[in-house]
Amino acid sequence: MKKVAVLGATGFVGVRLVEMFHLGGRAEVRPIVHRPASLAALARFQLDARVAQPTDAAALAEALNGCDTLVHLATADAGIIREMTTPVYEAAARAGVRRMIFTSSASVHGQAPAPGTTEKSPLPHRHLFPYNAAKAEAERRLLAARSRGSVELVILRPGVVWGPRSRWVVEPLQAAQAGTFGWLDGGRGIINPIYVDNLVDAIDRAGEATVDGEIFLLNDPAPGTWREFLTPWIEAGGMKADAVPDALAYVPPRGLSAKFERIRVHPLTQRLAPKIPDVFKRMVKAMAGALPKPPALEPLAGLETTGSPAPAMLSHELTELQRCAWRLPAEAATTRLGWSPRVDWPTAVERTLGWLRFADLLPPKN
Amino acid sequence: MKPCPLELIGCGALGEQVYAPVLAHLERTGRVKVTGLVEPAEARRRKVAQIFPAARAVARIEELPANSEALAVIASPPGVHAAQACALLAGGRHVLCEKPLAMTVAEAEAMVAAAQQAHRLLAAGMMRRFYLPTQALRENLLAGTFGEPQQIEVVEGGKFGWGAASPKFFEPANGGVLFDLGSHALDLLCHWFGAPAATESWNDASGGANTNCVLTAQWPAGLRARVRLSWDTANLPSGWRLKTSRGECRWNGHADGVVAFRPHGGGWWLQAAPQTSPFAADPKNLSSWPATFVRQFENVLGALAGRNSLLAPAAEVLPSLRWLESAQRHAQPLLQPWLSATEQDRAIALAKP
Repeated sequence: MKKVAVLGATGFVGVRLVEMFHLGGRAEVRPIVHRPASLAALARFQLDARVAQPTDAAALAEALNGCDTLVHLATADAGIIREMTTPVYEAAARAGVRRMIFTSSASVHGQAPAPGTTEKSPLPHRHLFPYNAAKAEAERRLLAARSRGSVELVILRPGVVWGPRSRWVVEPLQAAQAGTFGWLDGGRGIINPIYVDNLVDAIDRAGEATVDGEIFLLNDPAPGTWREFLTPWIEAGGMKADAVPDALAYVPPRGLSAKFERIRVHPLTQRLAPKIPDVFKRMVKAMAGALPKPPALEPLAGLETTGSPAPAMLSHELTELQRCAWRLPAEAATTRLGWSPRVDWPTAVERTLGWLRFADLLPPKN
Repeated sequence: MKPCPLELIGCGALGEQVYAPVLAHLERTGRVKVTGLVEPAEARRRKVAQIFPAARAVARIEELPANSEALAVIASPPGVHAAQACALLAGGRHVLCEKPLAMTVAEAEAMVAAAQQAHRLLAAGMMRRFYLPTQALRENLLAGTFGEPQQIEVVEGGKFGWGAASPKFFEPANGGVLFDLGSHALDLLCHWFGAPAATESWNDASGGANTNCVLTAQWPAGLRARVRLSWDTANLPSGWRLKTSRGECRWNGHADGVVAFRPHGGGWWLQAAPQTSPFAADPKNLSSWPATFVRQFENVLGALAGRNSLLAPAAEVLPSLRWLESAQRHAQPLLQPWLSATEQDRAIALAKP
């Protein structure tokens, strides 16, 4: 049986991948974690797990020794995503790994990609979020490393990955349970979702297909809109989809403090951050704290007298995601990887509701 | 008063992160003098030895003086608790042993017998008995303030956050989440209500340690309990919920939480945790987690001086250990409804010993 090392094996995709590979007999899985405590998430299985820092190529190479494939699912803040990219590829090369599968993100095209976007579209020069910029940079670095190195590389760009343990399910459920959930424009925005099992199937195929150096967008055919996607979770949380009010979209802050924030999240700043002395960081932080803040929002007229709950306010990321007007294509994955989503939407919903009950987030089914 | 000589057995994550700062505080305030440190891993031993430079730091308990009247604090992996405790008691030491007291009832009974034979104290490290909210809950239950207990729901855990120093922490021999968090939860239930008459258990171990457990129990007077424990569920809605003949009682499970009670048809009442404690160490930090450990030590030191009795004598922990052992031995597979049918069948097959 092939040996597959998984970096980031204790995240929500990683745990499901280990379950599917180990219980499904697809491969011998070797989780690699950066600290012993992370092993709790997989302790129910008897696995050959290793502890190594993803930025330490020598330690990681030792952990990868004897593995045929490396699935790189590890994520972190933007700085670490960039920092670990080259050491991970180097480690795979030193250990003689045949192929590395890098799970990037469809968000390298932005949360709301332009109509017509495909894998071949040029990536934006400027990104709204440091995470997107870091993933795009990691892709560039890996492709450059592949052009010089021996380890085959496949890059996957899944859309909104959801399923058991996913924030995309838990957060709306809990917002509905608290009565604070709200739509953006009635939830009409297009979603590019992929159920976690279907992503794991794609990773499995990416390990075998003749697709070295290729990039694949991945999403399921259903659901099509954010309203369809969110309805099962908010209804499980006790809100009726038709009775949900609209939320307030995120409004970017203005003024000096907003400019400071833009500098803070800029990729160059993030790249330099680890090298800046703490004393200097504290001084800059103190100066930023002294900058004039934009005026606080006044309560909307009428709300306090009608007794209506305050409207929900969406995060910047959710606002952008729900403004998406383009269905990303998954044809390349279908034709080149031979992939198609095996778990359909109703089954995926039922399994995820089952996990919510397992996690005591929903009462038991009668 | 002369400081009590104390030896710390085990300088892993628990010894280093929890016991070392508490013992340093007790040493500064003249209540103990750390005379010995035992840890097989040299780097960890050296790290803790820097905090207690006067202590004799050794790799094994056999390297300590053969006979001593010191208080030995066992914070080593649970698999060696029984052997270490019996040896230390036989050498004349008193022992405070971390939870789980032992991995089997037979081991724990041998420890209790060794303490009786040596005429030494053997305290169990059930620190949650020293939480102010659990003391308030017990006082109110005993006084009948809440009425007759009918149903209790305990949800403990979440995403594993303890800084385990080694992957060995997760080996099945250490009992998984059941012996980790379950030691505390089941001990409190037995401490408050006595041993249950009937129990059942389910867990998700599939060749490794259990990381999710469900336990149910019933007491002779009719009280029913459901206990849910997890090492991997980030959003687990943790807390204790007790339904009684007079209403409902809640506690979030934290050392600094409060006990809230809502009588039938009424609003919530916050039951203030006691403002003074017979074991109070620092009145400013009564509710904090380290203060709980300090209170535990003060209880043990008071018992050694004949001022008070132990709040968690080892013999009193045997009922919860029987429950743990039974739950481990007779566990049924915990169904994981997000797995495919094939995966679920394989998980069940791997669960079989």
